[in-house]
Amino acid sequence: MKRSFFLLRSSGWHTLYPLTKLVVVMAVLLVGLAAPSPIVPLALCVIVILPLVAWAQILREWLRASAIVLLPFAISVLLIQTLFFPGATHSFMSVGPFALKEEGLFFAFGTIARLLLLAGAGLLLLLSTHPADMMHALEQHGLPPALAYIAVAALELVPQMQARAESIADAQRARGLEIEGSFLTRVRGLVPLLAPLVLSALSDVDERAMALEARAFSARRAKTSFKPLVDTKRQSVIRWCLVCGAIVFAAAEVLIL
Amino acid sequence: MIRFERVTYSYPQTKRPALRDVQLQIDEGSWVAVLGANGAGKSTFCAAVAGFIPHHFRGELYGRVLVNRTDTAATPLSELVTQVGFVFQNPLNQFSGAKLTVAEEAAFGLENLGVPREAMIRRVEAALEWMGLQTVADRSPYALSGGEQQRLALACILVLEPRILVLDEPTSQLDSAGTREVYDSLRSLLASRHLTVILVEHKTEWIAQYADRVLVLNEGAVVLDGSPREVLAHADLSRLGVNPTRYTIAARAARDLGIWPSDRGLPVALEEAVEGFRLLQEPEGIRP
Amino acid sequence: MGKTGLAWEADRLQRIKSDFTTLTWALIPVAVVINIVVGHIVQDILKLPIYLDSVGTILVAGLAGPLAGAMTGFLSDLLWGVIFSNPAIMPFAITAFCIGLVAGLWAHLGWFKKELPLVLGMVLVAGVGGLLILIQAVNSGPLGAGLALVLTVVVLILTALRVFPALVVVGGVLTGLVAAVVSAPIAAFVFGGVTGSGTDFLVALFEATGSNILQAALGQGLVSDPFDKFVSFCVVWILLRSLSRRYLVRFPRGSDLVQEQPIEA
Repeated sequence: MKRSFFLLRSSGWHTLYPLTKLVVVMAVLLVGLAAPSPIVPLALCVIVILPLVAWAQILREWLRASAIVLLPFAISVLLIQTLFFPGATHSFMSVGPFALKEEGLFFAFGTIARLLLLAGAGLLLLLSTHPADMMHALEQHGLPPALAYIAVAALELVPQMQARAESIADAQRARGLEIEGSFLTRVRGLVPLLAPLVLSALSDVDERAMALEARAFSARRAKTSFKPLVDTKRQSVIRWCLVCGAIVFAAAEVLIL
Repeated sequence: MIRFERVTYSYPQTKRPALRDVQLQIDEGSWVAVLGANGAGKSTFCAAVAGFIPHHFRGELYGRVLVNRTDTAATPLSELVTQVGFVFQNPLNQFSGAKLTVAEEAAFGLENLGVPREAMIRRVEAALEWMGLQTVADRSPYALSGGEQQRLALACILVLEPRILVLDEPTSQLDSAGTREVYDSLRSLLASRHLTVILVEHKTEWIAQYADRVLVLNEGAVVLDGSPREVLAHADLSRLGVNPTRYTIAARAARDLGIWPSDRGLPVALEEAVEGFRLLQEPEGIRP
Repeated sequence: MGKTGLAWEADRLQRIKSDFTTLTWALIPVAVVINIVVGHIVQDILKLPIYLDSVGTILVAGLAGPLAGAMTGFLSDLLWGVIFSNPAIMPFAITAFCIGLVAGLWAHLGWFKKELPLVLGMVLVAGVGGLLILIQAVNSGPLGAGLALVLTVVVLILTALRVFPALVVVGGVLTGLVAAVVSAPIAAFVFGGVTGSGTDFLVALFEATGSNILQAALGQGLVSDPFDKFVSFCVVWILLRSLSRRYLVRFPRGSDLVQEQPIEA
């Protein structure tokens, strides 16, 4: 389990201020998901997201990650909805006792299109922006520092906890615990694996809290930032335009279409 | 300067005090080692110096703890941290965990205090230099060695420029190379910046070498207080749950065998022991 | 004398503020990672048919109040999306937020510490089970009601044998109910009912027996969530019992979780 799948590239997209990237993605999602027709999300994916992914030089990884997210879902939704779509009357084919339904097929395609946009846009952001940079940017725009702190601290804690979980699993295995095999064997593995992990993690909380106190975490002053701000006036203008544009577009889609 | 005025303290939900009637004064610029068995009150003592008692732990506190003449109970923790710095056992637990580089991590405390960016950069650079970490400033804190991590933990506190440093078993997770790194950095800092150091440490050999005053706690009370020579060679030390240095043990064994003269004091450090055992081999007459 | 609405609001704001001590801020990231790592171990390594990804959320909700619990849940789901490169699951952060809120409410009412007389406890558990059966009967017909009946019987037996306190069981099942109700529209509108995971066969089953997509998604949730949250509440209850009282009462709402006891010597 990695902390995140951030990929460092020297692309123009990467040099953008994280908040700008977030706004681009959010605007695309708003316009795409508000549309009743699945053509809109599909089109946005092809004419907006895909070029941005190429610009960010992460095409291969993006395709791979999107496939991993979408494939199991796509198979599931196609199968279930073409077979069992409620109230469907038109069947275009029958396989054994099952009738494949036209309405279900359309519904499945619509859902896949929307999820393709959701996953694709989301992954563009995740793969090209370090979460800590994102939180830093949000903090500079008014997110309470404590919230930014918990998000990044949790992310950085994942590999530590993962390592601890592995060492507990090794220790329990050495003492004869089986964590593979029948259902009952695996259920029995639950407590010996999880209890030491959770309890030891909780016992660290006090020291972590004291260490935060020792570094003035609870000071009630306006905080400053060691990392420089890399936002530009131009990006700020672009962001506002995107936000307004997306809202107008989405409203138009809902009201007119 | 630190003053304990008849301090007695119990944690919440307990009746037995963790500190009993502690009365002492620690002068500026001294290096005080705190010893005692598990549960003797060493960590509680440290927490009281740094103001975690009563602010963080609550519980019942009688008497007063004064740090540079201010009452710790009456000062918010976030203000105390610029006077007393606290370094813990496990470096991983004391990193904020929310910073990606060594320099950013070191700056965390200053960000919280709202120090302007230019001053912050200057203070971070200075602290990293004292701890010998300039070359790793852009690395991840988690990619450092154990000794480096603990020195970073120290740097994170030093940027706040406290006059007093409290270290609760800072080397328990380190090997002897890492321990030496930390102590040598501390010693040079003490010399150049005239800090007061309060240190909990099990490894008495190190204390004999570095500290200039030793306190031994037992059941929350200070039972021995003196120079490393006096305290570490004290006959009651083992009974109080503290291991004497290996040099004292060797000399005491020699004394029990009648080799070491019973009127000569026992050594606590390597040099003294070498000197003492060398004298044993020479006849009294030709002693210079 | 009744308080004015404004004073009451100010009181509540103060209470919420006092939930967020440094200890709470230190606890939340740890709890988020507990959610993720425990969920990952249970689902992907032990491959058990349960999520168990809200233990940390429920714990924080109890120790530091509903809002802290809700934040823990919300953040866990977002981070799950980041770590496993699956932004599609992020909308379910809304569900996790609600789980934290209601779990915090139950803990505040003392459900983790109160011991009820056995008969009253059984009646309450049966009542909640009955509610679940009723909702399932209306929503997804005899199949859903049958599955709800199975869960009800199981939790009744566990309560009768005094394995778990009645109110912990009730809290778990009720939280599951809330989670299912919140998740269903997300699953239906974002995912078309299915999620590409093992529970999809339930959705298929409900659709095949006449449910529409929202009903099928709700039906699936009402099978999975009450069971999952019942187990999670029991796990949290066990954890709370193995943590020292001295540790628990240091948290802003720790005293809601442990019984009053004579002070130890």
